[in-house]
Amino acid sequence: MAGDSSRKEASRCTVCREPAVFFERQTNRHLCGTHLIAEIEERVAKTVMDRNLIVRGDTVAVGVSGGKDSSALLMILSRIVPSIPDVRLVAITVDEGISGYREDTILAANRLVESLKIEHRHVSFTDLYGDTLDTLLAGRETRSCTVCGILRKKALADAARSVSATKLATGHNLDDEAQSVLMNVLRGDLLRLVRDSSTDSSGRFIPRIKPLMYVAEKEIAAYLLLHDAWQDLPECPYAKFALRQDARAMLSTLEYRYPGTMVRLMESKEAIETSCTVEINANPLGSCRECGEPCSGELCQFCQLRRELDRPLSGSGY
Amino acid sequence: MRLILPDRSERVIATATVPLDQLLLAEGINPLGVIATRDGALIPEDAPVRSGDVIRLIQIAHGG
Repeated sequence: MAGDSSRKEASRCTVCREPAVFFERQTNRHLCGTHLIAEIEERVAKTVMDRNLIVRGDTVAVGVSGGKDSSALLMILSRIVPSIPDVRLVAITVDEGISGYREDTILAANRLVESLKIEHRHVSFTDLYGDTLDTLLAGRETRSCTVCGILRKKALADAARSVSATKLATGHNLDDEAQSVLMNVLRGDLLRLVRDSSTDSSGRFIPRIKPLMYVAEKEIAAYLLLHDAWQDLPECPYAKFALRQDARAMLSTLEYRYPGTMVRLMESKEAIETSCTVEINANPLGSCRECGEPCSGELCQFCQLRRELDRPLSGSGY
Repeated sequence: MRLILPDRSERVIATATVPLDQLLLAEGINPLGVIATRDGALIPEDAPVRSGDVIRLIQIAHGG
């Protein structure tokens, strides 16, 4: 294998000259552990402040599965939230009932939330919908991520309401968001591409915020490893059925070859958003004719799924 | 050098000193899909790796 003579010496942190632990491809910078942690926390704080994601007096429900993204989210929020007056954090863990997978991540979530001394609520698909995801999916495995996504979103929203949350934070990172942009384009779903759920002037739903939206998945993994908080958890058994897997592989290859691809995709999405106010205003959120929840069609996704599964899903355990 | 993969299987690779990302690409692994440690310490994806090193890879993408 041919070597690159310019890269035979260990690299040093661009900021302090200590040995580097991370290479930021987009900016061509090397960072030591201390400066990588500081960089990530400052970027999240800037995202939160610039976009008014969390403001004085908010109760922020944080979806915490125990996986890497939500764990990092809770750790970072617990550090930056004290700088915003009167903010309450509540961790919410949803047990979908995925055998051989969710048990381990829930234990990890419990340990983390306890160590941070944050209020913690648990909800489960069995309590909310009468059965585990494994049972609900029987024969529908190829749609697992769609079904799980709709039910989990509803479970999180209901649980957030039950603690009087004013914001619902999830651990979606830069890779997730860029993948979603690509998937919405591939599906031709312009409305979903441009609809912003981080604010709600109508007061009809709890705004969903994504403070890690500009932190790459690899940075999150490094952040946890540096905090000795990385957990080698199993992969969701349904992940192989997801369109997202293909989008992830495609974008990861592009990002490696053309650093900054994912950020530019996000910037494109935001440019489209600002150009699409006519389209959005022409399609204001309506109300589901069965449950009354905000939605863009006649039925919300949850009620559509309830019909498809041909079973009564209570929809709220509260 | 020994490359320990996320599934804990190992590959023994005869190599001169090369940047880790070049070695990973040659092994069919996207450097953005993993983080790497040497002697338990995180190393950058372009760190030089050499004969005698034991590099452990951790898969970062989970979920669906």
